[in-house]
Amino acid sequence: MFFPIAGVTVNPLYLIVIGFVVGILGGFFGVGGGFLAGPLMYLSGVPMNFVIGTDLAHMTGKSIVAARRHRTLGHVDVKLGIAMVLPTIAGVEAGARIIEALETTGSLDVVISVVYTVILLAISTFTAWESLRALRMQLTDSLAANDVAGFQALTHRVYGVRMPPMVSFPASGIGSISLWAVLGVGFITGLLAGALGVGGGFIRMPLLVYVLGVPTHIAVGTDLFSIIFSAGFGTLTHTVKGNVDILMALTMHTGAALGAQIGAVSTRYFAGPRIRLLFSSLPFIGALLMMIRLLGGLPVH
Amino acid sequence: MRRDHWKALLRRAAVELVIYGGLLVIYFFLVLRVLGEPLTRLFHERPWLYALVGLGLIIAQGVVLEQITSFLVEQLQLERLE
Repeated sequence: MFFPIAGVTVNPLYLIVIGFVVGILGGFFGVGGGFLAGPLMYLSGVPMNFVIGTDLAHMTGKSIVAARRHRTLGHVDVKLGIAMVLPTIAGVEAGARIIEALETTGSLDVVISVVYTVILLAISTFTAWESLRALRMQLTDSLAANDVAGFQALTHRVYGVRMPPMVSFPASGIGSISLWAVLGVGFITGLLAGALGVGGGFIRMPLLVYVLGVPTHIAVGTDLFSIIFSAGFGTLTHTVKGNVDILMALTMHTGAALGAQIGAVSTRYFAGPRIRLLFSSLPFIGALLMMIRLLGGLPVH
Repeated sequence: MRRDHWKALLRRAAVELVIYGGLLVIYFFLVLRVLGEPLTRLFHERPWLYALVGLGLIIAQGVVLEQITSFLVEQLQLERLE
């Protein structure tokens, strides 16, 4: 099928399958899936600028479907999600400006790629270590809880900061926490997303769990809820710049909508540590793809 | 995860796939063909309007597709499998 806006012919079934696969990942792990959809779209011949913008557009629609489904399952903390919207957008803008300022150095792409790879590998290693530890604790201590954290030192420290205003998020089981901690998580997610050119889902989800102490299922749902706004904002700015083929995004979204529902419902059958253990493979795959790009297999964006 | 949970999950996935397959065929023939030309014109002539319409379409599609499948799943009494 010819997509006149991007000026490229792509098999719509291929786009639907990409959407379906990243939809399942998104619904289950609370990530946008750009790290996988991007390279796959590029390999099908879609120009790089359209890959980034169109991926963001389909991510917006997919997150709506997945977040709505998670909400019916009681997995979305709307108050927490809304609290993170503005700092995330501010972070994205700050990240983009840092990149603009650094662009004069020349070797920016390589530096960003190396930093990105290191961050992804760190998230992957830490999440795998922590979730395995939590699963062992569940086994040895015979804990019946659906969500056990194997590392809570950071959460305890954050809860110890009593800088006003203090806020509560009952849906996440957070009695009292400094608003600055929540804003900080949103801003750091946005900063890294803006600087590294990614959606930020697999940065925010671990931060919600390990920094704010949000239960995994609610972290996934709330992350998706936040992605609606951050990806929606990105879609708007990229569309104005002429980087979005909305027909392609709508096609991908038909597959993604189904995948997102299946992924969201599937979280009901997994305990928190197991979701985190499976999640740890995603940043690893992302790092692997970035290393392939660095070696010249795919373009760095 | 228990075996009966797997069965329930796979059954739900299969039914949703069938529902979506039908919807996709209708969707391609009706919506994409109809929207193709006006959206391309908007993209070249009015980028801001194109951006707003595009975002609106994505949001509307997300809401509609979720509601249609939820309705069908409810009618087929598949919710109780969750």
